[in-house]
Amino acid sequence: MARLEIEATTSTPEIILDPGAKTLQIKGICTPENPRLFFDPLFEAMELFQKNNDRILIEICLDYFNTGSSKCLLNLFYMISNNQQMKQNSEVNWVIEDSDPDIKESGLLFEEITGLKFNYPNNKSLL
Amino acid sequence: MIEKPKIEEILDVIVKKEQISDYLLVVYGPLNQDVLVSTIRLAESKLRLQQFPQGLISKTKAICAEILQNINKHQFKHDTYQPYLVIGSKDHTLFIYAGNIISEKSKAIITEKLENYLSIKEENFKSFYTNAFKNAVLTEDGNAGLGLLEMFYRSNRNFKYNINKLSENLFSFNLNIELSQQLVPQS
Repeated sequence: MARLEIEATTSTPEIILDPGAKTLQIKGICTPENPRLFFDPLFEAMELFQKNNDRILIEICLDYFNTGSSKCLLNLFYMISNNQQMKQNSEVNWVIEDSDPDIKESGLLFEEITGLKFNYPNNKSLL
Repeated sequence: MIEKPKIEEILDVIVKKEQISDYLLVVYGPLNQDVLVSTIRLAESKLRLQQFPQGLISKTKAICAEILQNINKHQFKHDTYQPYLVIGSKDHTLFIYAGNIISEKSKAIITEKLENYLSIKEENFKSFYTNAFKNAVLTEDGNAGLGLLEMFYRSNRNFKYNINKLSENLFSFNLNIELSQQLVPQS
């Protein structure tokens, strides 16, 4: 499958799904007016990706996001956690800028709900 | 609480009743997605300048994003009353004031939600929030219906509101959120 690249805008993040490296990166601000429309291409690509892969490293570095986007992120994590093989082999790097406890709390909530393995690296991208 | 949403009256009320010592940001009038993003960026810069801790800045940005998005999606055109967002501070505590016009239908929905949130005991609120988040369903236009809950949760329920009748079917909805540094968990 092809690499998915969505460029960042002033209110939406950059998204890169790299099937070769088995990584997904979401970075920036995430307040689209319609989060469902914005995330649809990613969900479609992830469905394809899951057919031929059993692991992924997700890196999320978001400055802030609205509740609609938060729900879309939860649905993204559910796609991974609902597949036992994927769940066991995958990890989420929830990047925190400046040791931000509020952003970390959001990551902890996703971790609690989905049971996925979350890491909380500071500031720098690991991918 | 604010009852007359004209900007000079809003600021007057905040000064006299709430005794805010510093205004950090005042946004008044119709807005769109660009204004939303710019406002949050400006709020962040002002809070950094005033050396507020990162956790409080993040809370403010997340709350303002919900407030402004609600205003953007549901704003009514009105000759006299305009939406507003005011961020002020006093003794290292942040105060967010916002208001906009809502319909009678929205009034009923908002009132039911907020009264429900207020009735939940503090010790049960985290699990209520988590369950509401898990069970929320996105509408076709991407609404999760979690904006008010998010504001409640992030402010640790330091959330006050009032709704005043403007005309037969229109009301002004005003909210006041207080964010103290004690709300910021240790990193």
